[in-house]
Amino acid sequence: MNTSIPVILLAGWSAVAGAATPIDKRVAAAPGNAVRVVNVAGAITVVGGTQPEVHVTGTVGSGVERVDIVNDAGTIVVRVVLPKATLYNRDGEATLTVTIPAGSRLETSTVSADQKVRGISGAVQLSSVSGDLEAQLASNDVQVKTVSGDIDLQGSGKSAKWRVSTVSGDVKLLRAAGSLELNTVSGDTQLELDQLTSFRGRTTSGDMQLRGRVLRGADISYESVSGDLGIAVGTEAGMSIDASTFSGEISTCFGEKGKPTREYSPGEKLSTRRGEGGATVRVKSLSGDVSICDHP
Amino acid sequence: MKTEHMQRVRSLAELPRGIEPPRDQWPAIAAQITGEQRPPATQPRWQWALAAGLAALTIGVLLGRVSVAPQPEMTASSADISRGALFDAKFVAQRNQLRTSVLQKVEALPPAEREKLLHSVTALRRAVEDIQSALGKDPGNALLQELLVNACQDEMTNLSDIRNSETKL
Repeated sequence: MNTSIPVILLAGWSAVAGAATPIDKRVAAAPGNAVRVVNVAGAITVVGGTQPEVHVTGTVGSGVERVDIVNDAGTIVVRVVLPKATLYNRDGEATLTVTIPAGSRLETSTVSADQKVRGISGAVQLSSVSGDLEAQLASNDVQVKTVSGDIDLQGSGKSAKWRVSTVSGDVKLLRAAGSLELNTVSGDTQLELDQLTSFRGRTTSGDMQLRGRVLRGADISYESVSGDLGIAVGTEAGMSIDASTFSGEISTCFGEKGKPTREYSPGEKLSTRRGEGGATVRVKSLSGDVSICDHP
Repeated sequence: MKTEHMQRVRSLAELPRGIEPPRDQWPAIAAQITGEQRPPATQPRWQWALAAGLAALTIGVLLGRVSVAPQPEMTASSADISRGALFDAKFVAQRNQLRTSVLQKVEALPPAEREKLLHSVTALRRAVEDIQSALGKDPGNALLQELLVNACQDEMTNLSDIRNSETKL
């Protein structure tokens, strides 16, 4: 069933008025509903609430044609609609706060609009082109993707499946537990882990720093082309380390160093074990330097 | 063959300074040139020369790579991986097409975003080139082969993501 609620207003009227138009609309949402928020420019804030409804407040610019709130087969879609012919709409921004049931599945999509998300415990899928993403999540399934937007995430310490990718944005992720898959090209990455079980990281030229605690049996694997890689993680069961570079240097905080792979080659390799070797750490790089520490 | 052509020549000085043709052939040649309607050239000669030069350069580079590579150390699989990623014409064509379309898209972006993305696109291209260069020196290196495959995949994935992203406001 499609229930369309026309919310906003002719662009012409707004243009004449020359001011942002306020919006305040609610639509009922069942506990199992998913919510999708689509906005091109401006900002969106999505908050987990206690009421069985989707509540949209905020303002839209004169270049916005309307905001649709549609129940599309169980998914509540909040969509900011711009005129089709608009190319460089200087006032096509919408600044919205969307309150949804905390347990809802959430999907967001923006172009340049920044996103803030907090208090959501359902599965989350956030994407943006150049807008920055900031989220505090208690979800068990998180996918985050940007092209050039920065990513700033904070987990709750509960085990979750994290998948994060960006082309040129920087990534900061705190209190990530469970499994994490992370890919960047040139963005720098700062990770603080909490009881991680697995990590797969790839970067081209960005630096990647990993810090925190991993569980016994954790599988940590990451690689770079020219970015520097740093890992400082503690585990009660120790870790087994296998690191290699083609031309970068390998150093550790426990006195061991990488050894040349060949007599006249700049590359280094380090295979060692700390404690029981309970966690596995594999690091590969072309020319990036690698630093390894067995405590945070 | 006439007998005068059969005479043995003992030094260069014995050779005639010039040989006059038995008859003047220039009038006939001139008449042919002026009377003949030559078809217009479909390709300027410099383009053919450039194409030939590029072809020769490509062959030279390929031969150079193959000759530089210490063949006995290469396994069949490693050679397949490096050559497949480096020289497969279909892959190269697709990648170049993707690079071009992405650069066109990036050029239309606002300056700050354009700069960030150009930095990333350049990093992707240089990553592949750097690994290729390293592989040229150490073709049997398993680490480089793995990095090359991953770098090529990363480049294609990220370029596709940029191309497919919605950037119009």
